Order: sequence, then structure tokens, then C-alpha cells
Amino acid sequence: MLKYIIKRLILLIPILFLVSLISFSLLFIIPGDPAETILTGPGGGADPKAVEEFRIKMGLDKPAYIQYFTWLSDILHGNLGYSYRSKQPVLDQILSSFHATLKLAIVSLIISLLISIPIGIISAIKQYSTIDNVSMVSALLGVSMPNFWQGLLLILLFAVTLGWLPVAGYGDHGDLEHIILPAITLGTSSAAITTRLMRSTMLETINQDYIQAARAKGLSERVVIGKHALKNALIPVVTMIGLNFAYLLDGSVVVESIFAWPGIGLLMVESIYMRDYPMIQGCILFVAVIFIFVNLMVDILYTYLDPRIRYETKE
Amino acid sequence: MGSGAVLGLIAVIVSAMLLASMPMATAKLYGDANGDDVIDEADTTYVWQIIADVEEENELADANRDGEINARDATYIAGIISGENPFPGGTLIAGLGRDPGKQYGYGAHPSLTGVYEQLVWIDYELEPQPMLATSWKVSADGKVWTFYLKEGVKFHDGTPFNAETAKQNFERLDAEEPGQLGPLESIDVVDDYTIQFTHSEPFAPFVRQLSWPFMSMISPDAVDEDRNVLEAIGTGPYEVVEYSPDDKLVLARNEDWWGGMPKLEGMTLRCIPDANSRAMSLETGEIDLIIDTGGVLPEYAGTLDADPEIEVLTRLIATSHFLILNSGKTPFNDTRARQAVQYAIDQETIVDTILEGYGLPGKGALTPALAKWVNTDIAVKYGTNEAEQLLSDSGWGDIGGDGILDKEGQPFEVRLLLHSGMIGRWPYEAIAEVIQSELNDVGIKADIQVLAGGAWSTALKDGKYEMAMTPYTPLGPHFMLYDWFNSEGDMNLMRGMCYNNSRVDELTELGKATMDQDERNEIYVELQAIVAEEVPMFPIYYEEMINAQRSNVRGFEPHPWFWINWEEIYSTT
Repeated sequence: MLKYIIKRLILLIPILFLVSLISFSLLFIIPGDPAETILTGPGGGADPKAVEEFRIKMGLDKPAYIQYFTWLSDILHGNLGYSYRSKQPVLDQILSSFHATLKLAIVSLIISLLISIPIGIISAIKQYSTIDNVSMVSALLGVSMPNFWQGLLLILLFAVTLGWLPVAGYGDHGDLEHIILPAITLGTSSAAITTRLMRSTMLETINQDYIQAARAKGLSERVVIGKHALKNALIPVVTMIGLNFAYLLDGSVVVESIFAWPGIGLLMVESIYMRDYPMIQGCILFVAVIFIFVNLMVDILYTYLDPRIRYETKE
Repeated sequence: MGSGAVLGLIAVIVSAMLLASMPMATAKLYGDANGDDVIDEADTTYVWQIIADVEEENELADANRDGEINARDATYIAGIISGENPFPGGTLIAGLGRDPGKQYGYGAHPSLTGVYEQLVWIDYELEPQPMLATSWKVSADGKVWTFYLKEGVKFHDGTPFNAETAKQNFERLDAEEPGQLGPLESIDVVDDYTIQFTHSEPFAPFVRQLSWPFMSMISPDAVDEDRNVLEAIGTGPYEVVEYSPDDKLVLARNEDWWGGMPKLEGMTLRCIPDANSRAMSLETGEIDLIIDTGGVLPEYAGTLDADPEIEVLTRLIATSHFLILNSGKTPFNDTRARQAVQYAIDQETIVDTILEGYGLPGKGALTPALAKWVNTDIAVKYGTNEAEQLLSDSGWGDIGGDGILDKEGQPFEVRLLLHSGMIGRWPYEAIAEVIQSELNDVGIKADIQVLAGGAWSTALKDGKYEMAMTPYTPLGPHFMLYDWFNSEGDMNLMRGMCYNNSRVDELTELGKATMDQDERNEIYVELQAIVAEEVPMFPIYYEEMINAQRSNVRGFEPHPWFWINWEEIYSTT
């Protein structure tokens, strides 16, 4: 087991290297001169001399590979550089935004699980019943309804018409009343997919022989489903949830923007809009690292859920 | 989506729990004894009348809030009027579409937050006015500028503001962007409150240049040796209390402000990027006002206006939206072809339909927001007949019979380049489609291309375009006319316009060096006439900014260069 984890960690090195290379090359793939775009004042003009000086100051006049290695060595020293715009350390801003995103992601995940797991199980046990049909139709709706639309509808109902919850904002560092609507928006759309998956894996499991055997043994239906079937049915669902969580952690641009949630998605989009290259590169690298690590966690979690999976190579 | 019922139930339960803790406005205008929402002499009189039992007692008359209404309240109100006692202006929450803490790296946007001040600011008529300078003068040869500074001004950290700290700031600004202080030779401290700038040649627009909203005076202790601003410490009426990126900037009044006691006790500027969410937050009262350019979109203004608790405010701002015609290549190297395009486009309809009336159809290069400098003889040009006449005069005719004009075997086909960032902020796409269809009516085929910001700039710089749309917000006539129309002007070169007229070059140089305002005005009037005739570019519309406020907000007046008069604003509830 430990061997497996170490192996996976070693494998991360080339992956991270590749990710860093890709996020760095963005600077050269995106057309236009960052120096000029940044120095273009609110009136629209940029002084050519200032552009030249900025290029030298930021090292943009050096060859690409030198820029890359300077950047990489800075990263290895925990320094992601400074934002062109706010002139603050990139890492500080990413961490503060990530904090907001993390909060939203956790609450969304909880909402998503509270909805999808029970409904998925019930739909499977009572296949083709009214409950099953209704929940599958609403799951379909949930998948197809765009987030921004669902978000605006929720705002219209709960904030504007009923006045129960605030329209948007982070409140006092992401308090409960501010997190509810964005979390429901995100949570329900991921719940839609998870519900369907939960239902189909559960269906598959309960038709297997060992479940029949358990029933024949005289176990109560609660124990058969809750203990014997659920554990096996959950394995693919966990992968899905893990992936979902990783997506949630990357920050949803649409939801964060509608609800003015100062998360990492918003930070990234604003940085792209302002051509704040160090910030864009930092965000992409950070998000990629998070994604990779969450996936690793999911893989490790498997071994606990299913003892058959051991990840050991044959001796 | 699971089940809507479950969702609804969760939301209902949680919301019910929170209902009690919803924030409510608390401040009241104590001292406003007669209840007319202003505090003035009439309120002192009113308190005396209450004491004399002529008028009824009321809560607001208890200005010092000791629970009784007596002579001390009258004195207290007099103290509020004179600025000795704090104005009970309450606090406000303003919403805007961008993060006011991120701009320019200053930690607080200079014109939107009231944290910073500069020597000169630009007033509602876009004329420079003293701010931290009391007056200024220029030597007879136009090269030496002397500014006399206000005495007794302190930064929020207590550091005194004087000629020495001003000099440090200007050295920072000059190093940050060389050339932005004009052809600078030296900055000298004459005495504690006098600073002198020496230029190598006359630079008449210098005072206006100093009114750009990033010419802020920042406490020297808040800036490191690499010119990074570590903390937002200025001299302004408000100081930063708390900043949370992409979320909010919290400010409190600077009670030692040189200009007296700011009325509003403090405010929170909330960044709400989505325009719909912003407007809905105003409707629910979560925010009290929407500020900044692009704050309210035209399509939402009607809904807000219909709400009795909300007032929509509009202001003609210094931003104009231009159509550039590339003078450097066929077909627009022919002046008549450029004139024809201007005649073919119905700007009034664009303003009335797409902008829902929030704007003015373009005339000359200078926006009417700069009223003092505008050549008023220039009119809106529209007429399909004139356009067709000009086109046939310059040799264009529909030879193939396909509805598209041809000349020397070449069809009249042009590209219209749009900037992807700009189409998110203004309705450029819709306007471009109208232009496309109107040009089609006179036989010109226009192809609309949306390019990402950098690609757009590069394409223009390299002259790989025929038409392009762009906004521009000048601080004065020089910045518009020199930068865009002088053959060496920054914008002319950067946008690859290839516009070149020796008389225009002569006049723009003359305007830059002429100190006498009336003479400059004459120069600029002639200049505007020439470029209106030659049409290297023309304004499609002059922008009107839409802001909105709830009924508790007093004193807010939107500014054409987006300054906010925070020290005058207060809340009545």
C-alpha cells in the first residue's frame, strides 16, 4: 500500500513538470504583448518607453527558456511571483481565493450527497415507481439546466421575492446565509449526475447472487441494502464524487460570478481579463495540482472501500 | 436536481433560522429635527421651537442622543453644521462591477474610494481644480510650473504632506511610467509647501495630466524601494479598514481630513461582477447604491426606475466610442470613402434602440462632456444619398450587379474588428451588426471579426484592418486630438491608423505649447473641424453612465471621470 502511494507520488513529478510547462507557455500562446496591455491606461494609451521598461523589469525581454527556468526555480522556492495588477504575492491571493472556493465546495458536496445517495438508492430499490420516475426526470432537468439560469432563478425566488437570503456576496467571510444559494446551485447540478450513477450501480448490485444469498439467509432488507449492497455499489460513485469534488475545488466561474463569491474561478477569470500573467499561470498550476491530488486521494480511498483492490504489482 | 421538494424544504428551514439575523440599516439622521433630510440652521431653530412647545418633540431632534431635547441639542446641531461634531451620516454599501482594491496596485482605486488625493482633480465640467495644491503658475516660457501646496495636510498614518513628500511621489510616478509627467527635466522643492517642475519644452496640458486618477499622493512609508504600494495610505476623506479581494473594501471616515468632517461615517464597496446580481442586490436593499461606469446596464435601468425606492441617475461621461477607419490602405485611404461610411451610419437610431437612449449620437472628436472645448459647428452626419454620392464620386460602382460596389475590379469589402474584452462591457456586437447592415445598404460588405484583446491590438498596430471600434476617455482636448491625430501621436501609431495631415501636426504641436486658454481653444476648434472633415475616425456615440441609488442616499452625484464625492454623501436611515 505504502509502496503504491510512494509510486504515485513519484509519478506526480513528471505530471507537475508538464503542467508547469503548459501553464507557462500560455504567456506565449495568447496573442498580444502583456506589457502593452497592462500599461494601457484607462484612457487607452500606453507609452512605448514605459512598455520597454516594464518588459525589462519583468524579465519579458529574455529568451523564453530562461524565463521558464527562472519561474520554475521561484516556484520551487514557494514563490509564484507577484501580480502585475495588484502587485501582491500571487500565492497569497490564490490561497485566500481558494479558501472561499473550498468552503463553497464542501457545502456543495454535502448538499449533493444528501440529495443523490438516498434518492439514488430509493430509485433503485423501487425501480419504475413514481418516486423513481420523478427523481429521474428531475435529475435530467438538473443536468440540463445551466448553472447561471438556476442561480438567477434561486436569487429571484429566495432573495428578491421572498427576501429570505441575500442576493450575492461573501458576507462575513462566507457565512451560512451567503453560502446557501451558491451551494445549492452547485450542489444540485452535481447531484443530478451522482443520483443517476448511484441508481444504476445499485440496480446492478442488488441483482447479484450474493444479495439473493443474503436475503435467503433471512437478513432484513435494511441490512441487505445498507450493508451488503451499498458498499459495493458505492465504489464507482466514489470516483464520481471525487471527480466532482475536484471540479468544485477548481471554482465555478459562472456561479462565483453570479453570487459574487470571491473564489478561485473568479480570480482566474478576472486575471485573464486583466492579462495578469503571473496570476493566470499561478492559478492554472494550483488548480492542476489540486486536481491531481484529489484524484490520488480517491484512488487511495478505494482500497478501504474495496479490499479486492490492492494496487500491488505481482511479486 | 434530485427533488425540488427536498431542496425547497432545506432552503426554507435554513432561511427561517437566518431570518432573525438579517442585517438592517441602523443609522438615523440625529439632528435633522425638522425631518427634511438635511442638517442646517433650520434644525437649530426647530429645536428651539420644540423647547418653546411650538413644535412637537421627535426622536431626530435629540441630536446629542442623551434622551431629552433641550438647549444642548441646538448647540450640538450648530456643532454638526460647523464640523466640530461628527455628522450622523451613517454608513452605506455600494456595489460595483470591479474590485476597487485591485486597480493600479494602489490598494484602493484613487477616484472610486476617497482614500487618495492628488495635487489637482478634474471637476464636473472636466476642468482642473485645486485638490492638494492651492494654486499654481507657469513661467512665461511655459517651461517651469510652480505648485503651492495646502498646509496642514496629513496622511492617514500621521506623516505630514509637504513639498518633500510630494516630490517623492512624483519621482515614483516618473519612474513608474517615464514621460507621464511631460518632458520633465527636474522636480525641485522650493520651500516646505512649494514644488517646481521644470520641462525641457512647453507642455500646456501638464495640469490636466496631474489630474489623471492615478497621480495619487501616497504616504512615503507605505511604498517600498521597488515602488510597490504596501498599504493604501493617502490623505483623503476615507481610510481603508479592511480589504478582502474580489469581495469588498471597507472604509471609514478620516476625522482629521483637511476638508472638514466627511458626512458619511463609512462605507463598504462590494465587488459584484454580474450586472444582474448587482441590480437585484439594489432591489433587495443589500446595497444602497450602484456606482462606476457600466454599473447599471441600459436594459436594467427601466426595471430599477420602476421601483419607488430606487432612483436611476445618469451622467454624460468623458468616454466616447469611435469607429476607426484605416487611412493607410484602400479603400479608406480615400477621404471620400471614409466620409461615405460616416454618412451611411444612422447614429441616432443606434443610440435610441441599442442603447435605449442612454447616450448621445457622435458629432466631432471631442465629447460634449468637455463642453468648453467643443467645436459646436460640427453636426451629426447621416444621409444615405450623401453616402452614395460620395462613393460614386470616388469611382465606386456596382459593376457585377451583386449589390456590392466595385472599383478597378476589386469589390468594396472591409473588415470590422471588435475587441473581445470590450464586447463584454459595451454592446459593440449589436452596434457592429447595425453598421454592417447599413453599409450593406450602400453597397459595402463588412465582415465583423471579434478578436481576443491582444490579437486585436496587434492587428490594429500592424494595420491589418479597415475598420475597428474603440472607446476612449480623454482628460482634455490635447489627449484626444494630439494622441490620435498627430502623425506621431501614441494612439495613431498604436492603432495603425496611418493618419497624416501636416496642418493637424502643426496645430496639435501648437496646442501643446500654447499657454493661453483662449488661443488654445481657437487652435482646437480648427483642429476638430479638420478631423471632422477628413474622418480618420468618428464617434458613434458619447456614453452616458447609469448609476442608481436607494431613497436613503443623499448627495451622490455621478462624475464624468468616475470620481465619487464620498465626503458629501450620507444616508438618512
